[in-house]
Amino acid sequence: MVMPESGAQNMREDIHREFLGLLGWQGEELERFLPDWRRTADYLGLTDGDVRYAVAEGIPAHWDLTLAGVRKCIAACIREAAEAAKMGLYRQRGDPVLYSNMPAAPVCMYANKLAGGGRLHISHPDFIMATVLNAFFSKGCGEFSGAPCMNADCRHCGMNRLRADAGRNGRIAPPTITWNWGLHCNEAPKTEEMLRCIQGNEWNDVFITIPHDAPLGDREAEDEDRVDYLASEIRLGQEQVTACTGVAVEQEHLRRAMDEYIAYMRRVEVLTNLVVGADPQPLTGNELTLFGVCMEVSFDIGFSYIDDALDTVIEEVRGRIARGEGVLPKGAPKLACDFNPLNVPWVDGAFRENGVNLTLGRIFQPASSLSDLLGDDDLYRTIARQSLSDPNAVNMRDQVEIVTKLLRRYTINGVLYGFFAFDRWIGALQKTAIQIIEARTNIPHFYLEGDFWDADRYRPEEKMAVIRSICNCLKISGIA
Amino acid sequence: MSREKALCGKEEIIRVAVGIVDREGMEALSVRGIAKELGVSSMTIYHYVENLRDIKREVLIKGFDRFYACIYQALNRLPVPVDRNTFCRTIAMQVFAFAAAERNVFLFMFSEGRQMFRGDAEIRPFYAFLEKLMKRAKATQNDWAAHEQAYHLFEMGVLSIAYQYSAGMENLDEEKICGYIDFFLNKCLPEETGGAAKGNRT
Repeated sequence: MVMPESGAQNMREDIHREFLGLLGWQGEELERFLPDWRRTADYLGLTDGDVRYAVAEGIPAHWDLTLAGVRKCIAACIREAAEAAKMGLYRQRGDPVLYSNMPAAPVCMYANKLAGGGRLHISHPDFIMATVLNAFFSKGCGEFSGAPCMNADCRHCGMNRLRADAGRNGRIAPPTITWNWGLHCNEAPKTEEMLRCIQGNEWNDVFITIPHDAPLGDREAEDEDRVDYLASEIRLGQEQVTACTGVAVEQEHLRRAMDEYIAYMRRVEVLTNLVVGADPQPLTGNELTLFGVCMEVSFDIGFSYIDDALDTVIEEVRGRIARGEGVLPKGAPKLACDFNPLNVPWVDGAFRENGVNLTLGRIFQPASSLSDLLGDDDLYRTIARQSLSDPNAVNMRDQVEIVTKLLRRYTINGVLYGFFAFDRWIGALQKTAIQIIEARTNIPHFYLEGDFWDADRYRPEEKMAVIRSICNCLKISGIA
Repeated sequence: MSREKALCGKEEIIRVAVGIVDREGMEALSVRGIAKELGVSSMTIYHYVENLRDIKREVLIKGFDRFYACIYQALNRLPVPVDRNTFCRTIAMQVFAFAAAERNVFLFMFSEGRQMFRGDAEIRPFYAFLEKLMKRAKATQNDWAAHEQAYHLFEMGVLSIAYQYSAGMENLDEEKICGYIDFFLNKCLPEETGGAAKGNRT
């Protein structure tokens, strides 16, 4: 039987309505957002079947939608993806568009948004695409970017590969300028350089970096020369961005952006302390990490949606703690996770099936520590100092000191590193660093080879034996 | 023209490799042997694994998976709280049980495999297992710092005898195994430091 065209169209619309309804959209708001979402689904390369899968299996399998905070947080990611899908339209109407890679300094990006007064738009298009595709649709970056520009054999990070391919084929619209941060990731600036070579004048970029030449053990955030150097690099970068966008960023914009960012990070810290401190653990590791999605990026939609999601889930978590409810029984071991498990949601599920909570998704500087670095009058110096207090951006001994201090804040049974196989040197450094951290903290450290941007390079079945062994080790320690 | 059988993935290769090691020992493991058993060519195997070392690594990981599962199951059957002596004895008994039941993989795990893979980031945490478990377990962590060397010696002693037992160099019955474990407990962790000669035997 051939269905009338209008009937087929309605069925297609229905699955998209169902998707939005699942995440809390309703009534007029849903109908208003539906065209945006349809455009976003196309932008992400999602078929109706992909959306149907997400509604029926993908999202319910990994996310607890009975929690309004979780629904709101996923919805915030979808709203931001919808913004990313509109960047081409914004440019067509003459608005400046500023892109950045991840990890970036979110305050700098957001200050541009505030200074633009609604006329300038910011986006981390590859990051939001990769996150949404992996976390909610179980589609790896590899499936999406099949163009020959960078292929899987190049062994590049899946997110950079996605940016290169989607930029090249026009899915990611050319920005006015990309502000590229090479503090953590040296592949991001190289990818940008390649895009500029291919796209020519249509692809402007400026990048910030600092030589990795700090003496081993140097406390980089306390090294005033280093802070000065990085602050001047960031200031210069902003001047170059302003030259392209025509939007001047003043200290007041940086101040407002910093205030909003710190307020967001405070909420993340409250949630983290509640979840990691509670037994039984009231949220999964995936869910806890989801709320940290703006730690290293800024959303064009601002912080309001994610802050609302955080406020909601904090109340829900408090309720669960009061009722003694958890995702696993009381006493289940807690394994802090260094990498962002969002893009490989099955990892958290595999640990849970074996009686272990992933917790503390990413080892990060909490707001209370970042606030201690607010003493500089010049906010570029503050941002530089905060960047140099990030354990992943500094020399290995400094990293060890920072992580040791951070781990001692929490009662955890182990730490899980890995999934950085896409990076030529972070993985190697981590394998050394964790042995020193383990000796200092007495907390057992484990490692899983993998690639969180390209999860389909590894089959879950291949990692199960290691995951079970880690879980058994943790449970054995808990028995005696 | 015959068409070669398609493999489901690396897991299928490792399953066969584990079977060969269980039956014939690690020395008998070869890519050609695995290919023959699977009914495929050696080249097909190399599509899924880099080399024989890669296969041995996976066999080792599977071995640790079963090893820790045995220890966990044995400890989980004990009434809580578990005291230090019972904790150490139960683990030691499971080491001997595993050495008997999974002789070939045990010998590989604690000889050639240890040499080959103890620096491997994924596998490293599973060696020095007693030390690490006791460092964290409530029953043992308080006196860990004072007796770190004693715990290390206990582990070395248990593993050394279990290795000889597994290799057929020592013919041991349960009585003798318990005797060895008691001896190591008494020598390494004598009663005045919390160790006891007679604990629950599981």
